[in-house]
Amino acid sequence: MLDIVGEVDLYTAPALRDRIASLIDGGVRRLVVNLEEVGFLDSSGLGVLIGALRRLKEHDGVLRLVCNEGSTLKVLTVTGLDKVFQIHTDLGSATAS
Amino acid sequence: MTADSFFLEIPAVAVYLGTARSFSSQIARHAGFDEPTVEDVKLAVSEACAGSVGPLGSNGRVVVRSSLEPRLVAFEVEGTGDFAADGSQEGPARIDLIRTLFPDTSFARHEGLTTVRFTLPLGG
Repeated sequence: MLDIVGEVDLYTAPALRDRIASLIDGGVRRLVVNLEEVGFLDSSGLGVLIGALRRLKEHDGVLRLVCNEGSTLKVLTVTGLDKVFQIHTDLGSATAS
Repeated sequence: MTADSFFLEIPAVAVYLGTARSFSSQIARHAGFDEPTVEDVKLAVSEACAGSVGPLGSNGRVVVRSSLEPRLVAFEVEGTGDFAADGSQEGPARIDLIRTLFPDTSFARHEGLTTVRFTLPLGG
């Protein structure tokens, strides 16, 4: 599981991309990204998540997001990405199955 | 009635995007918008600024202007970016995201500068 805290934008997204890439390169195939403590997420951050999903799918992997309310969920919804990602409202359900 | 005007100029580098977000969100709160609307303003302004930022060391500038008029609040972001990087990221295009949040958004390109402008009506 990857907990993200703070703001994900053009400035911080590269670090997130590198972190996720290192996890996938290290063999992780089922990744839960916890966005509950993310206060801001822009299109750069969405791009990182889309890239992670694409890479995991290439390896028959799974990406789940934990996100329950607020601006982070809204940006996923208005972009239609709530239909692309597996979004869980709590950590328990994301890690259970 | 004269509009109250606000102005922020930042270096066109990504580390200052948070400054533009703080600036725009404070204006939106001052104008009386609810928090979900403040978040929309923050995202739209940040995306507009991000369309103009370059690598650290770039010497470009991004200007954020806002005016509180009797019936609306206007936000305007001006920079040298042409949103060309939109095609290289895997996420949604910045322009599309801003327009989804604020359908009246206009984009104008003139003499090497791109201006993104959107408005919010006051008083619901």
